[in-house]
Amino acid sequence: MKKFLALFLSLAMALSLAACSTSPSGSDEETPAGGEEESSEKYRIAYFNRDDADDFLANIRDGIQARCEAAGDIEFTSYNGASDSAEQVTQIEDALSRGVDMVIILPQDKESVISKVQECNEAGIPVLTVSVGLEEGSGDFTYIGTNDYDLAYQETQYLLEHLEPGKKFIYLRFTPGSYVAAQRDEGTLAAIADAGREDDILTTMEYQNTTAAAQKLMEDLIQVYGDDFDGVISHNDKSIYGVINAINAAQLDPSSKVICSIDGEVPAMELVKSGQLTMTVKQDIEDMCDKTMEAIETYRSGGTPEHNIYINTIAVDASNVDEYLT
Amino acid sequence: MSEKKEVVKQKKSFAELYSKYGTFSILALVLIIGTIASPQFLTLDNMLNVIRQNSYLLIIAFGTTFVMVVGCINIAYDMMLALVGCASCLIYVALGGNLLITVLLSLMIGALLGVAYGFLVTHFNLPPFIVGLAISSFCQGMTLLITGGRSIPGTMGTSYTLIGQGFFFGIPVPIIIMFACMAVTWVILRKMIFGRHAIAVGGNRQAAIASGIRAKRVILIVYIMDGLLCGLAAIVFMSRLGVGQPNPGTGYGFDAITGVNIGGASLSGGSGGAVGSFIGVLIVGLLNNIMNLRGLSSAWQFIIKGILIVIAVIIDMKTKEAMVKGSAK
Repeated sequence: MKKFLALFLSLAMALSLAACSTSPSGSDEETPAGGEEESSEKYRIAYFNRDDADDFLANIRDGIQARCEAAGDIEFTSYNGASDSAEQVTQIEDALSRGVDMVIILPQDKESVISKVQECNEAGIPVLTVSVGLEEGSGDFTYIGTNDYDLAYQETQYLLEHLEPGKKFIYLRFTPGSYVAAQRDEGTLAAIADAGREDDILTTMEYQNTTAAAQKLMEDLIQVYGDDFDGVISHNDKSIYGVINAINAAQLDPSSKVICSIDGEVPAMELVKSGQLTMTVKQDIEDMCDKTMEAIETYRSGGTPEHNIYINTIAVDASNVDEYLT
Repeated sequence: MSEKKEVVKQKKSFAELYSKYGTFSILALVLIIGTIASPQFLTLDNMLNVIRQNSYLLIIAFGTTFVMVVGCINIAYDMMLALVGCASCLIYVALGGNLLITVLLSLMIGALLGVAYGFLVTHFNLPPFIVGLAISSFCQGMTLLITGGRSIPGTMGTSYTLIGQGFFFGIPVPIIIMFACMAVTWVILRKMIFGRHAIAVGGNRQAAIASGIRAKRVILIVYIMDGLLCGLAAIVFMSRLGVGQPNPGTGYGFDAITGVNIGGASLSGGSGGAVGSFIGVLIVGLLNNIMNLRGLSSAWQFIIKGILIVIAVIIDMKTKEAMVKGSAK
């Protein structure tokens, strides 16, 4: 028994070491794409991901990493912030002390990384932020991504266009505390105000950014409102899975309602295909990665790319889901 | 002198009363508050809804009960849930939808994590808290490794979701699984020698060893059972979500431990039971339900939950203090 336990623990430790050292996607610790001996010849890019355990963010990271590796002379190192602002700042500090040629940040929050952006500026290290931008005056950087305000505005506009005036909808938003939450909330509220449809909001509730939390919340809301709602708007795909599970569990028909979301993840598009989700706003990750690579090359050749580079967003619904669900 | 004795006696009688009826009284109070707060609260539909929502937490809580009874703790539940849950989805997809083998292999992974936890605690005498951090970190890394940080497609709308979303004769399947786990926990703790040994180890480990109980073996078995139950909870949880997610969220272990504590299990060991844990976790779930039914913002939900946890722990501590003082006099 003891030998078995010792063997199991040894195996576990070996696996965890392997996980830290050979992960192709830069899961938890830094994962240089090039060898140590080559690092001095290569252009060193440090990529700071907000959280590796997030489909959308992992796809962005992998897309940029693949393009850097294809370039052949770039050493790409990825760090996992694990949704922790302090951890992300520490990782940036560590990378700067090791020496890098460029920094790409997907910030957990905008404020905590400002001082690090400014340190990079002073050291002459170019800074890119992807998916989440920084406030003007935070330093010199190039932002590549969408505007969260516009994303939520587009999503809400779609819902309002597909829901007759007077029909009621449930608005689910992120728990406040992050820039993304604030921007998407403002975008949705602005679209509702512009359409003069404030009275059509049945209720507004906040959820922690998990499927389980959104599902619990929606189950409780169904206890209160039953089937007396015609639409649901929520600010990411993760939450919409929970919403649809709850509607199905209550033996209501999700396809009879207008349900909208943001992200365009594969399972969400499968739900669009099956008719349970009306629309998800897909952020075009390929476009984001291409434009990031163009910005990298511009910096490397001595130029300066535009301050804000916006990517395409696509409303994926029944009319076009087959194009994107491959 | 006699006045002091009287005060101690009164404190002890309150403590005795609380230990017998405290959890039920809190449950009754929550039910009354809920009924006043919302007309939808005290309905069969909503009660089933709350139990179904919390079924995976309750399954974790029965494992927590065993661990707390022997005076230990497990703080790695959230990451164990993520690892076993994602592994179960991957296994299910890889096996082309063989649910039985998926469940068995997933339970095995849960049990192995329990073996690792228990072995580190008993063999190396490491503090359970530190082992929990290590196991948690290991599980987080493994989850990222096996999923690449992505949700696992292929389980939505399949037989996999029957465990978390299905019904059996009109009763939600997770509720049936949860009650089965509760019955097994009750039988082990109340009717089997092993349960008495576990309570003895948690109450006074030295005395238990002196009376011939192999304390380390008991603790190791308890952690294996805890891992098994956590594995089962993970399958119910991911099946409920319908999709394997590497980052399903945090706080589940915290809620389970809080519920078990409210339900009468002491953090220092020696007490606890299946029924108490069931009611304790249900109280936490009902409070969340009331706040959602009332449409309270997340800020107020956090504040109220925090205050209630502190009150519950203070009552628990003061009650035990009074019991100890009363016994000493």
